[in-house]
Amino acid sequence: MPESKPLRERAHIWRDEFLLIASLIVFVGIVYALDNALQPAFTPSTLLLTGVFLALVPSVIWLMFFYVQDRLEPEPKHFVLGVFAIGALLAAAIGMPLVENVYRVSHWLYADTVTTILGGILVVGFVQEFLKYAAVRYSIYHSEEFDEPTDGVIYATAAGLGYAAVLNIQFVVSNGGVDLGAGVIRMAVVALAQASFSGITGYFLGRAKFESEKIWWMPLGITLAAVANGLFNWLRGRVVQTGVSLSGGSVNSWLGLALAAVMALAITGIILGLVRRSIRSAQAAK
Amino acid sequence: MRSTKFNRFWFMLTVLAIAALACYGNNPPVQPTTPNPPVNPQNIGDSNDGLSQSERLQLISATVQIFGLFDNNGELVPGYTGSGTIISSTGMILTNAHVASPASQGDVENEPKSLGIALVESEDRPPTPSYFAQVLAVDGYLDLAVIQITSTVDGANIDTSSLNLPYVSLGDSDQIHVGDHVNIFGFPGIGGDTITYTDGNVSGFTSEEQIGDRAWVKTDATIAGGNSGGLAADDSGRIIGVPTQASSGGSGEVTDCRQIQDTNKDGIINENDSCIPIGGFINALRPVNLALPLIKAAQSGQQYSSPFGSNVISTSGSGSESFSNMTWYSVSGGSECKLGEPVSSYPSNTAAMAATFDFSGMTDGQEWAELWTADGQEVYSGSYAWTEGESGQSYTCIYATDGSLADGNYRLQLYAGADLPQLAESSVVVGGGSSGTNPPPASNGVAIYGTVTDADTGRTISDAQVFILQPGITYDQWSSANYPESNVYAYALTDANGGYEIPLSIARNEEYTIVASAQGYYDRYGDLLVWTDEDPDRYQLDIQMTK
Amino acid sequence: MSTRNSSLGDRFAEITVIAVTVVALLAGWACKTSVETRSIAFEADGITAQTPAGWLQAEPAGDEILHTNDFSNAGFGTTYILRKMPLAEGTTAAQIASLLTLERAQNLTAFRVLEQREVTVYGRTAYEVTYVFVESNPDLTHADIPSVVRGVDYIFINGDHALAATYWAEENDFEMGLGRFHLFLESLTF
Repeated sequence: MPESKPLRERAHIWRDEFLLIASLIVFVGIVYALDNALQPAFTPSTLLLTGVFLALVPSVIWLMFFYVQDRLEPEPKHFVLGVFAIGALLAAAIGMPLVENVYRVSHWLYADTVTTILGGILVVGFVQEFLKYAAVRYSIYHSEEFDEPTDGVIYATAAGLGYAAVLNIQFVVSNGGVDLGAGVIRMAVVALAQASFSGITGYFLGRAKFESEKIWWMPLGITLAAVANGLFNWLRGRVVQTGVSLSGGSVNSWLGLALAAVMALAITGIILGLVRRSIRSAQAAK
Repeated sequence: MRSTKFNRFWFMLTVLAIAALACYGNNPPVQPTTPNPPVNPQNIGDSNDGLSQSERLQLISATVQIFGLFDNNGELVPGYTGSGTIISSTGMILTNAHVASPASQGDVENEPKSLGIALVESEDRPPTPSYFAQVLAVDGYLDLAVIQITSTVDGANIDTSSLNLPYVSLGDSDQIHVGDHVNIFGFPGIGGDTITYTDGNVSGFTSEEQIGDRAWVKTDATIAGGNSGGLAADDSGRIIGVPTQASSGGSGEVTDCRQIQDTNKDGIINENDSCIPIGGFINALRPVNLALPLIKAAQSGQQYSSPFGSNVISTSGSGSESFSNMTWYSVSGGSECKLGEPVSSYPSNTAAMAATFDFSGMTDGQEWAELWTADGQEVYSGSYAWTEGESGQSYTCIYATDGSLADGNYRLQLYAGADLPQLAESSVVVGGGSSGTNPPPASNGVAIYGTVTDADTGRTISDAQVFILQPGITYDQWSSANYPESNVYAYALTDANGGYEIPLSIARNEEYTIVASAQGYYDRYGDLLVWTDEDPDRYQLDIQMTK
Repeated sequence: MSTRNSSLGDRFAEITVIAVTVVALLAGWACKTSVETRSIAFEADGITAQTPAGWLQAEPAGDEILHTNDFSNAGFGTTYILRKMPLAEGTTAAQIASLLTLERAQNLTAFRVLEQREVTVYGRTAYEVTYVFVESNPDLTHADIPSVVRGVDYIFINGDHALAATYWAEENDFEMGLGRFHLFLESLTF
């Protein structure tokens, strides 16, 4: 076991997580209200550019909080940005081609409920979670800058947001620009979800580096994240749509955002609790 | 240390990718085999003293297979095949009259609606259907016809001057002598469908009273039946004759004809089906000089009329034809059309219907025709030579080829006389409109329309399917029955703007299930929705989809 | 202090993560394959086959005995058709191919034959015709871009009838769906 600095609770990290959730909802509300109030007339290219810009906003918000608040013991900023970029690159170079072109999930994933859940976990979940894990594990993990368990959560969140940014940019580009009001909800959901799932991975990574965990520890972490990933996507689909009625078949995307926010809060809360407990037990041991 | 880790990471990824890709790389289960050997391999490629190889290739590419195409409920179905020879670069083809137009020999029933022309692209493969052709000039007595390519198989009209097809020059059949070598090309239709070559010598000539001394060129070459209309060339590569069934000259009987398809769809293959002239052997050539008047008429656009007695429709009639007193009868025995009792209407699921009529002033051999329509759409039509004598009673019937006739208002119109004026007509209802399976009148129903959009992008979805199921059927019932179309009342596909409109209006106060499906989205459905009397005639139902 | 030298356990953990992911992805592939090859039994007129589940079972028209299509597919819905045609003795598969070709040429827009040849399909001799056509909605008010559809017919001669198995798919999906169609061909008994 490598020698490490005393373990500390770093409250601001957790504050950042909760602030991210809150500010994302505020951001969505503002964009949605502006879009509805102003009904901006975009040309196709400005709509595309605006969409791409909005797709980056969730990641920028989190990074901003992180930069502004982490004064006491600043993580090297370029490392966080670097992991963010690796997450994004892996998503664009491997993740999305694998899921969409090799596995062609759009052709079969929605066949039935079991397939949606199973495929969501085994294909989409594992591809995404493994790549986000890899973004941390094969870059910063062995460096001195990864010097306490909480760092796992920070870097993994950065990787998750990088992944989410690419997913969202692809969402905008492949649709040739999206309706901003509806699209921004989707983007916030993706960012919250990706950040939360990799939070799970990050917690397991942090523990793996500084405590001797069993051999199944890290696979368990990835699997949990993948299961959360698959279940969430299925659940969101179930929550937002009701049966088609005489008034039509509408989809309530806000419920999806609420679900994502609740899930992000729950996961962050659980990880916070777990980290605190392990820090206390470590301190008690000393 | 780190770099080896990276290597291992990429190695694993590569293994993963290869494993995934390997799943695509199955051995192809479909393996090409070598083509069938030609029928007379000893003749092909033989260095005979006649044609050079390049001359033979030229002749092969100018020999075409001709299909007689029949209308079968709006589909063109091939009924028989024969051969022909292209005689101009603009697509003029010389063939037999019984191939181009059986009606010219009195066989009105087997007159095809159109002629399909298949060209040889490669001698070891069957010819490729490429064009449709029309008859320009036909002589039923000589059994010769000139037809012209008019359009491509997909219906596009052709500028014939730019067709630039390979063709065979005309020879002079008066200059051939007993013992001369003849080369015969055609599509025999037995033992493979590639072009077949046979050869032999002129063994003699046959005279015919009306035509003269050289009515036929006899040959010892073996000519299979489907070669009818094909190419007989001299050793200079010029056409000297048309292989023709000698006995068919004037008699109107096609003896080398075989039914291979159930063309009238009565479930059995018998003499009532159109036939393909493939069996038997023929041993005579119609000299090409006899075709010259037809070719001239065709080239100059003039009407050709045979100088020999035509035996098509032998007379134009008396001018005092009359059909009257049409009466509808129930029918038993399906296609055999046994008359039952007189009826005023037919129930749903009627298999066959018939009408009797009185006639007078008719002459055997004159043309008459019938036209059946249902709700204004043609169901069946045909024209025939009259055989029933001067006056009396006759009947005609139609029957369903697959179970039962569709419900509707049926009308039968009968024609006879010089320009086939309509002489009688009668209408009858099948199904009476009271059946429960009938959709209610549209004026009473609700037309469903709307837009399908992606909830996450706000963009419309094209190519989404919107189904309305039969009343009372739920989505689960439909899906557990493996999505039978019989459970679908109506459906629509969204257009490029995501809009759909269900083509049939639905009844009020009935329970309909609506299902929307698009690739990459969750299916959406609403079970057993009821539109009441208060709902508008056009009802907008927008559907959002999500991934 | 050096954290670069990873322990043996660390290395094992790393490998197990990759192993678990590979296993999950292989299981995911199996899941995809099982969904895509899910079949229902078809039986008519002494002919049996396994046809794809979840496809629309259209009412067979004319001499068709099976007509099923993937209605959820974007663009032209991939279609399998089986036709049973009675024949006289001695008729060859190539003749039937010509007949089908002419019929298709008449009914389909911009129909073109790409290739025809004799092949062996799962041990049976068949005549293969590959072609393309354009499918457009006949409704003139339907604002949509027509699909380019590629088709292949396999014509089998069996005694007194011919069996034509047809596969139609949007040009871009043709290759991808061919494997599924081969499974269908393999399951065909007559």
